[in-house]
Amino acid sequence: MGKLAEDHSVESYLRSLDRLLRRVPVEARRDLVEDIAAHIDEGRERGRSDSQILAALGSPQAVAAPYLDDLMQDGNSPRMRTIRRVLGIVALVTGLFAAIVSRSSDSTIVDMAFGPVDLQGQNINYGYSDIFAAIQLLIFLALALMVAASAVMRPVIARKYSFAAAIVMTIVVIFCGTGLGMFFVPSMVTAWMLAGANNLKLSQVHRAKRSRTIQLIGAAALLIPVLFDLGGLATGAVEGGGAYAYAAVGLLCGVGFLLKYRVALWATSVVGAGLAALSIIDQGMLMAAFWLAGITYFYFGLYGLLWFEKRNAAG
Amino acid sequence: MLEQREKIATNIRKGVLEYCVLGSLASEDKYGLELAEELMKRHLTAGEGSLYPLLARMKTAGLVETRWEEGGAGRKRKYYSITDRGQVMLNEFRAVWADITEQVEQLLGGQDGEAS
Repeated sequence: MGKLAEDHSVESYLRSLDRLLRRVPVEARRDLVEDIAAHIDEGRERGRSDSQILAALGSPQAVAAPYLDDLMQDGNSPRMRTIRRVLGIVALVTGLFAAIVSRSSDSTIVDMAFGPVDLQGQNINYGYSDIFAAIQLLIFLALALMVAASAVMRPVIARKYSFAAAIVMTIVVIFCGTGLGMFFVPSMVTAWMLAGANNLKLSQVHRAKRSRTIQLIGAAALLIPVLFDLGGLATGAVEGGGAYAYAAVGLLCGVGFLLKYRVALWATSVVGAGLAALSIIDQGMLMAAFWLAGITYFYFGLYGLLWFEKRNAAG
Repeated sequence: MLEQREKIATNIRKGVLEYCVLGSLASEDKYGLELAEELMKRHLTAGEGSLYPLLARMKTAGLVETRWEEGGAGRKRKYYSITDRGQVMLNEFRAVWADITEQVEQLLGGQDGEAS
């Protein structure tokens, strides 16, 4: 596929135009390619040569430019800038918070009450010293800053940068394993949300589709554990006030999330933040449960607040 | 200097192309190639292709509408026509354009207007 061949072949002209428009809503994309194809047919009928026609049309880039500019503008709208800024702040706050919680967990994990003694907490302990602890805090902060930085970058740079930052955070989480890695999960999730928010090539239609998917996944993640809890209550396998309280909170958040009620979305993320904060309290391995459940609630709630379309103007 | 001239022309065309399309359609419904050829002949657009995104946008804005008609060789042709809304916009533009050209001419004519 040399440049020359491309310039002279109608088919590859149309193909490269179609490719350029791949992020454009499907109907507009199809219409434009069809318009141009009809234009070429009409031109041929008038006896113009293919190369004449294509030269008069201008490059596929020039033809697609208005659509691509629109996409850029969508991505640069005040709403998108707000979302990026919010995510930047979330990245900083969660990074700092995770650092504090992970420090508070040191004593917990050494005293872990199960598993072979010589393996306990080995993943994260490495014989902690104060210096190591300080370095760990700095690492958390550095990574949080790295993730947050794209919120204030120029959009074109931010797109590539935030994607790279998300990949780095993912590697960090995998590399650190289930112990320390768990505390980097918020930064990783924020990084991916920022990567999505910075992707200017994503059209509103794509975003709407994506947010519907998240709506279903989130509702499942919030509601399925509640179903287990309700089942447990029904059969008597679990009992006590806590199980009822959880069922009530989980149902309200989960159903509200599915129905996209703003109040429920706020409640979901506040509950999540609260649960994550509870894990500061030394509770052994229960801490991980609080932490991960907190992250789940917080981020699904946050996602809904940022991306779900408002149900009504009053909301 | 030719480059400068092209740059100036491109900038001005950008603002008026939409109304040139409306003006052209006001006299007669046209299909894409017809419109493109007319605008190219008058040097109002640098590329024929950029006309189609513009037409699509104008259709969304309700300034033009399309219908399919039998064309040559048994193919359907997409004809564009101006809507009432488009007509209103065109009249608004006429008023603005008359004012701007008058003012610009006065200004340029007043300051050494004969220099090339």
